[in-house]
Amino acid sequence: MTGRVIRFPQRGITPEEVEGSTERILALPLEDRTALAGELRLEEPDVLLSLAARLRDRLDTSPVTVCDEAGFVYRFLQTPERPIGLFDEREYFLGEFALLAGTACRQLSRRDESRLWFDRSEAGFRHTMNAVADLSRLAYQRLALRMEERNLEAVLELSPSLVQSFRKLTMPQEELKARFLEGLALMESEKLGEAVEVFQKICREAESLGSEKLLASAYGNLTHLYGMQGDVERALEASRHAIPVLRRLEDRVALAKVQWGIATLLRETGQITAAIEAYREAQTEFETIGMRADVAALHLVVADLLLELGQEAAATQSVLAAIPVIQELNMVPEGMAALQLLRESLREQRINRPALRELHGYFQEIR
Amino acid sequence: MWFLRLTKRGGGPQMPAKALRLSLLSAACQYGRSLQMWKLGGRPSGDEGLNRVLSREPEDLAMDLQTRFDEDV
Repeated sequence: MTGRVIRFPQRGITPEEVEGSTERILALPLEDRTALAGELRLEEPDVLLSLAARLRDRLDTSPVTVCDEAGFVYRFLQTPERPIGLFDEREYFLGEFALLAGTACRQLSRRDESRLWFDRSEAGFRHTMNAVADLSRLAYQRLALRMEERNLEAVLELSPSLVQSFRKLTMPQEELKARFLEGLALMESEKLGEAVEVFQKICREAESLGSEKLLASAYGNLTHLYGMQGDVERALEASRHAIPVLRRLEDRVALAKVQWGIATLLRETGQITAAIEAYREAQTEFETIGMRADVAALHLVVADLLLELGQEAAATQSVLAAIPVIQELNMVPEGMAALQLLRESLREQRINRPALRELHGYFQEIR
Repeated sequence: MWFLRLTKRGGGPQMPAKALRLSLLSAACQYGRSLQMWKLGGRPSGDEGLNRVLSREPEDLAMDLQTRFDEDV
């Protein structure tokens, strides 16, 4: 940065102008925006800040849209190189929009794309004045990606350090989010009691912070955990705390996961038909959001339950619907053997149930 | 304006404004340095003290200032 001449600031724009520009930008098709960039004030840092906030709010409602929108803004800022705002603002916005695109791709299980976006984000954030905070938020997303890849040991090893970083930076909400990862890794490792303790603590702290979203998400995870433990009363109680808030916040991803939790509870308590129905509801919701990996995972879980009911033909249909997605998204590189066994058994028209269970064991807690 | 936007980054306000003091000092040093270099038009100043300050990275200078403030507190 040495020797760089800084532009003097121009007149700021009013909050109403920022709001108006944000609305106009989002209402316009992506391909029409660049030509109207000046009129839309696409280079105004206040507008970019507002756009980023709007997209962040939509991550749990419409990750597909966020991925497209954030990718567009990133490319607009990057090529040709445009001077944006003051000091480090161009680099910050490049990092932020890449982080949003990467997070959306992670939600959609487009993991290679997600990794590339995170690398781009790092390239921007490395040059910001508050790089430690920005890079820590990025580290959280990278760890969440590892969680989805079931790299549990890495998550359990690295999450305490991330929690500590956010604590030092006095970023309490981010600190709680990092502890979510620890709780999820414990849940995946079948340390259900420890995971319950983590989420109960998160609930208490989210409440004292006044963070409805984190509180409801934590209750959502408790619904699932109690469901796995077969504790009907507590699972339903947790879901009652989670569902109304998540509905109000339109957090469709978390809502679908709570639905998944309820389905697990029904399965654990032997209500197979009701469980299948509940899994299918969760599946429909994931389908609408565009989370194809979760749809595929639930196809396998449902297939297993259909076998339980002796409905082999329906179970076969369910497995057949899942396999192409699993292969396309390269969802379980560690479960390839089980996948192969399952495909062979389909050719022989008799589902290999241990292979099916092994495979959906990989997916079951991917959230 | 820049600092106000800095506090809103990442969906903020996430960090208390006080925790962003170093970022503010860095920006101020960078801004001041840029202005002085523009005024000098690439020539060294007659003031040796100013030349010494200008030869340093703004971030280093900001860290020194922050340490001094902390000591004063």
